[in-house]
Amino acid sequence: MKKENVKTYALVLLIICSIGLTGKIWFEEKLWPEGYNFFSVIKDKFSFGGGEFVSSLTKETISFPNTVIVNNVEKRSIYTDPGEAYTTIATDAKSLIRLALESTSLTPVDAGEWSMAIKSRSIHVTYPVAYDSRLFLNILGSYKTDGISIPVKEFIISSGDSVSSNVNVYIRNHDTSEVLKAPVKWDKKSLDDLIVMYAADSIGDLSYSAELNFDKTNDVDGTNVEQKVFIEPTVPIQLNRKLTNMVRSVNPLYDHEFDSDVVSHILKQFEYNTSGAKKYTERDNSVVYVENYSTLKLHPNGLVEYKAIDRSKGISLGSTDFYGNLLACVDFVNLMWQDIFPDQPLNINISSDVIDAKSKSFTLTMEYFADGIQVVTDIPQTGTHGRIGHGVEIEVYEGRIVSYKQHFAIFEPAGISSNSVSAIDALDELLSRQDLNDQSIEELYPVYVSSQAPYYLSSWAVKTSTGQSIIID
Amino acid sequence: MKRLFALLISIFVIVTCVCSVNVFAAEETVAVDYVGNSESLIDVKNPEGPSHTTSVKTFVISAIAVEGATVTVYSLNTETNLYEKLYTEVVDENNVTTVVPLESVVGASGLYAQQINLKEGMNNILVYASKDGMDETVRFDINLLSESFLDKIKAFTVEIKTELGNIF
Repeated sequence: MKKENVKTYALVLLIICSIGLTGKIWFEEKLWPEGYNFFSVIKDKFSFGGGEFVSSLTKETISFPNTVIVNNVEKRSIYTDPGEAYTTIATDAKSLIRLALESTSLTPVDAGEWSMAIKSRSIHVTYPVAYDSRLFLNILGSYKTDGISIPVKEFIISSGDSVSSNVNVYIRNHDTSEVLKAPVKWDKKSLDDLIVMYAADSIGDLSYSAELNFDKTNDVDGTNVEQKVFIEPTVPIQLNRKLTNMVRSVNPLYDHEFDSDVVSHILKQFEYNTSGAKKYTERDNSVVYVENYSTLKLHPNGLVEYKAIDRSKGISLGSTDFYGNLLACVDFVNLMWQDIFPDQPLNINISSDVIDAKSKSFTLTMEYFADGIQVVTDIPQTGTHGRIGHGVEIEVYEGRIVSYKQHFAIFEPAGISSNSVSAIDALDELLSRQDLNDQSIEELYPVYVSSQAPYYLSSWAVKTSTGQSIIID
Repeated sequence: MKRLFALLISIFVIVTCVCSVNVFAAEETVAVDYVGNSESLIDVKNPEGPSHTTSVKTFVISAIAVEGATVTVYSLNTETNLYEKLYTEVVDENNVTTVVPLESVVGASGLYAQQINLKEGMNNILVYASKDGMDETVRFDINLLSESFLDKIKAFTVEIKTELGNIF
């Protein structure tokens, strides 16, 4: 009798195992030619697991601001990632912004109050791109879905007046420049202490355009000299030269020959058969793989290009909505990097606005950062590829990656310092080369530009009111 | 002969005028009543008016000026009644400190900004711009409030807050 029971248990266990393993094989897309997996299509349709992309690390990455400027009347300091001070300030700032976007008591205020807030005891938070506020709220970890929907990029957290117990968070509409104010319950003393601690430098080293009145014509006596350039009020202007470290890039993909281990990881990430994919080599040593209705091209300069021949056969991101697809894209980039270079942190951030939160088709660009400064990717066109202007460029069509370009590079300190020019010197250089033709300057920020390979020097970039980006090198 | 003499005199007068202006641009002092010969070289944008009061010890003068104009900042010495050129310390890449005048040539953007340190009380500032024999002066006063005055304001604020706290 006992022997029979043991047999029964063993049989049940085997049946359960077989069902489990069969299910795994059926739903495993990699074992099927893409597009022919009936079960996979069902999985996509009913979103089994769709939107459950585990991406806390990636969400964390993109929820951090580009710069935080701490203002305390006559002291002011700017912080960028990485750094302990930056992380401390940005963590509090994120929580306050989240509370503000969740707030139901948002009130419109005039531009004057925004300007006053920036001059008073406050933290000015700027993100690298504009986000739809509702989507951004999700990125910040909120489940609230009925918040306001406006493009946001800049926030000011103000200690407010000494009578009120609330902290004020100002939210600026990136398109219309209208400002909303949200009173937020917060430990005001801890915010004041944070501001006092981290606003360390003289205000004169870093002035806002509004403080210098570069955003407008003279009110009092009119003007006798033509103002050639106007700068938006909250653009910080570095007045003095600054000693910055040069960085150098390392090509992790190719050193006289392709690193077979790295290539194998890349093929796996793009769902290519590492041993059986068709492969041929071009004249410039680029290697082209063909499989799954797509091509994967690896260039000796570190550029990797994936292109789906049929747009309906791209790499499925496994999500049915924009938010899921966006996070899946960021995850795709992060996972590939972690898989290939587990010991190297990926310093990258989104550089294209994330505003159209309804579309399942979009293009996403990302840029590398070194020491908190954006690295300009500008690889000229060759006989085998076009010009590359971003670190990563992903084209998503109906929830599938149909085009993917990434310039693989690791940026490390070069051990050499150089004096970068002041922001005004940079604008002099720009204006000596071209006229801005009534465009105002919306952004003025430091960047690393390629000097003599493999070295990158600190320089400046501007973004104009018409969306034009100009690198001043 | 008369014509030649007149020509030489004219050349001498012109050269003297030009040279005096050029030398003047590099002068250490400017007379208190000197106004210059132009009004189209520079527009000071910060401060916006002829007098300004602040509690911050540093101030950034901003302006727009014509490309190529040399802009120098002076401060009035009330004892000599002369505007004296201001200087600042600059640290280079090799960590060597040098003292340089607050003087720079405006570039193609036309933007000019210069930080100055204020002394407590009234600071009478003169911004001098010159180019191609033309020069312009702009004067303004910046009053830096004293620490004791600020302490009084702070004490007054605390009193008001306490009173408000008692009321509510």
